[in-house]
Amino acid sequence: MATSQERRPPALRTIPALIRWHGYAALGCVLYVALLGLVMSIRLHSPDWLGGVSWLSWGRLRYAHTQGLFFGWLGNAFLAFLYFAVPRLASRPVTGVWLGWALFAVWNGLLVLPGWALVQSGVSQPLEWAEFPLPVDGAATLGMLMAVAQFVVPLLRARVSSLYVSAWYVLGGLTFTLLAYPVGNVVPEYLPGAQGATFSGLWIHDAVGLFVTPLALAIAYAVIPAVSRRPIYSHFLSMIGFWLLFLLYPLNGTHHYVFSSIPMEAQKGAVVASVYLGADVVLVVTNLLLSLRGRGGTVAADTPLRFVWVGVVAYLIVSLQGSAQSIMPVNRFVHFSDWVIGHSHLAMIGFGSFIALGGLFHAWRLTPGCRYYRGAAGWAFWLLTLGLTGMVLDLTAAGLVQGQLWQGDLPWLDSVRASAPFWWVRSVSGFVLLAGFLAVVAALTTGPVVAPAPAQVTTAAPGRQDDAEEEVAGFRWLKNAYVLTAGAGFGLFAFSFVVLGLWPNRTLEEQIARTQPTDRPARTASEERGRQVYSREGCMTCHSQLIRFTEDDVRRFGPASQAWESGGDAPQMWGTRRVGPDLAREGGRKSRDWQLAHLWNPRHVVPDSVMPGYPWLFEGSPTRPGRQALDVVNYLESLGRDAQLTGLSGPGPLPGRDPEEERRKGMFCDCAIPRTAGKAPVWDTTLAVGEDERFARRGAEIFARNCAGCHGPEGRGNGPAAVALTPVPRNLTTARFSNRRLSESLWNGVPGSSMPPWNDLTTGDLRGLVAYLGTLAPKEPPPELTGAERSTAQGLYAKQCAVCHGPDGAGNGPSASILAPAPTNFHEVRPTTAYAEAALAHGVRGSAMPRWGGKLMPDEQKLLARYVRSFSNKE
Amino acid sequence: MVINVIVVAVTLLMGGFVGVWLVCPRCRPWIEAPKWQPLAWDEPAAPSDHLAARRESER
Repeated sequence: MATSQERRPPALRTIPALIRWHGYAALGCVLYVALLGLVMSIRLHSPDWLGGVSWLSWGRLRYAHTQGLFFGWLGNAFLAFLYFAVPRLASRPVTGVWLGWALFAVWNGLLVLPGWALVQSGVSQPLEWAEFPLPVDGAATLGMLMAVAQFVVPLLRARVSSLYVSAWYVLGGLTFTLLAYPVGNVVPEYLPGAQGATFSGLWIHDAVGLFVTPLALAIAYAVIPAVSRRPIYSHFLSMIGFWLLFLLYPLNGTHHYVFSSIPMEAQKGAVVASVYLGADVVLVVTNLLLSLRGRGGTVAADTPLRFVWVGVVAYLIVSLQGSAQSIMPVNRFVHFSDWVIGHSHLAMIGFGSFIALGGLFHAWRLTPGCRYYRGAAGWAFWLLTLGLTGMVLDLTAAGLVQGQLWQGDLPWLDSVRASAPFWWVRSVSGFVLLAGFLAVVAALTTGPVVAPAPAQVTTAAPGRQDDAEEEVAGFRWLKNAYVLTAGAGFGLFAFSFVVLGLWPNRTLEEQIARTQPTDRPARTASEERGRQVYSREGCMTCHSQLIRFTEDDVRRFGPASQAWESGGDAPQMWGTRRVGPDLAREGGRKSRDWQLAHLWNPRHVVPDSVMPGYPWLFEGSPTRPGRQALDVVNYLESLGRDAQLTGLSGPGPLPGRDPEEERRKGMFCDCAIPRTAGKAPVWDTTLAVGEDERFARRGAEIFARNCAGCHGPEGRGNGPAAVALTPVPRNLTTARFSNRRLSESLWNGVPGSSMPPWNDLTTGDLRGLVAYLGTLAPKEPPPELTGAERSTAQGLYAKQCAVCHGPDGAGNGPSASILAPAPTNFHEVRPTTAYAEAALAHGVRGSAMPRWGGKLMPDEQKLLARYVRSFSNKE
Repeated sequence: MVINVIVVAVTLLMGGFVGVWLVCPRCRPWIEAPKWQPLAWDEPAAPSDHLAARRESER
């Protein structure tokens, strides 16, 4: 007996098993992807949760999250819909069942699952939306080739005049993605720095514009008329929209790197194309929504159509948002912030996933053998809408706050602290989204089984198409117009390739050859290995290596990145998000010990940091770094080295900033100070008459947030990071420091130690710290020496100590200039008697101060201890 | 230069569509005909002639 499928005309013979299996694969993937997103979000406010497991490292999860969403969820959902739609669009079956199962096996067995396994085990490439490594790229290309054979070939055998707009989008989406994927995934592997970034940028946008958008719009154009029982408003407008989209989308790519060293003409071209694209999307969405005029009741009643409707509205919003944020005044404010993350979630969930869900639900309820539970679908809609709205609004607001803070001169960490409440809301939204996707699974796996389609199905599509052609006699050549349209399509792709890829590359080559120093030292093998570790852990997902040509970036991070600086980086790691600060010039800013302690557990040195720790790079302790940890630190030390060697960047005040002027301003206001190294202003708390206590209270808060990791909660030099630092952090209760000395150390750090500069703190914070540290200092008064004692001590001091500490204790002896940390200047630092005696007896670990225990008599040590303490009496 | 090329390309593409629409009225039914196609999907019975339906809607 013939089955219902066999009774159906060939045009509508779908392959229900492939629809189901791709649907099930999509559901499994979206649950995993949503779970990964939730875990990552929680770890932004609870960074130690699940820490210590390498394959759950934040950066690796981010790789798995984005690629899983792209290939695992959206890829499988689109393929399921294509098995439903292409036989209807082409009026003939897809190429083959065997090809379908082979495609399913390649897509999931060679692409998604191995891709996830590899990136989570540390084999990846640091390119956004292209994180799966090269071998998986091969499987992806093979899968796309098979998809073209499966779905494009039947469409090519149909008449052009009968091709509905969904078919055009399927044709365009599958073929152009096949072209764009290798360009974005393979070329930047071999083309370094800015040159590679031009092609990376192309793919970042092509992934959305040439894969997600066309296939989502194919679904929207198919589901809206099919459910509303009314044709689309205008096929003419839809075709204008289609061709404009394929002209403009590939030209958007460079807007991800606005204010970079990519030639400005290419950047501006991308901005113009982005604005045009927004106008095109208005046209497309208008056409789609006009198709539903007067059908509000149908939209409300039909869950798949409701998903599509929300997706279309999200498409309008996200596209206009994209156009706006590509414009330079907006871009300089929101780029690198959570605004962009909100934008990408609105695009990938609000637009891509909602429409994919609408298509999947619609295909599912019409496919024999599938289960469809309408009630759960309704729950899924509301949960996903609620979660998405909450997440996008939250991230957009977070981005605005971050952008505002980055424009000022507050420390970077203030933007991290300010983001914490937003990240909590993000996690709650992510939980609601996960619940929504669970409801999707319930909707598609429970409920009644879809009955076989009625046997009397007929389609007269071919006959009607003939009618249409007869009406335009003389235009029969159009049925062979594939040559023309294919040529136009390839032309558009080549156009973007040339305009935003090849042409800027030629300019960049000339620019790099003209500007790069001739004798740049190559990276050592260790630095190169460190780069690999940095790449595999996804550090660039939170730390950019691109100082943009904006005032805010230059003031905070130094001169803008030149094209030649990343000329040895293939693939480039510029990044598009900053949770942490830019690292393009990180070399020399922190000591190696600090970097190692930070890698082991960032909160040991920066208590409010949200960066994950990397303990698997160590051998069980922060004092025993493994080779990989040392390699990473070597790599970090190399960042910006070339710029320093060529004088492009380095220490010293930025032009036009006078520290003394800043100090005077700081006495009377709480203004922030630009990051300027060099001569330090002195935060003289004695001038703040009557306000010492207030400043000290503030200083205590700042100390707990920034200093306690090394110096300990009470300043005794016993913070959690202290064990890994040499010399050990100073016990601040064992000496009284002058305001000058404290200001100098806070402003410039302490060379030869792990104490970094804190000159990005505000004036008020620095004054507060100086005031607070004054309260920690011992109250022990300076000693009084008799004439005889002083005479004996002077002799001893001149013989044993003056060579380093100078003849009068100012830390300026003949050897001082080659010692780091510098010998103590006893005019600025008055140790306690106990500390001075201990230092003399045992030496100071990590400094040039030797132990004098066996060389001086105990009485002599005690006398010297009193003598050096007496220097500060002369002030 | 790049901006000019993009503006010209967009203008030509849009102009081409609108030009064909204006200059060749006989193409209009061909251009709009496929929009009826989805209505035939999954119908228990074939819909009425799409051209007749279109003429009716234009009226």
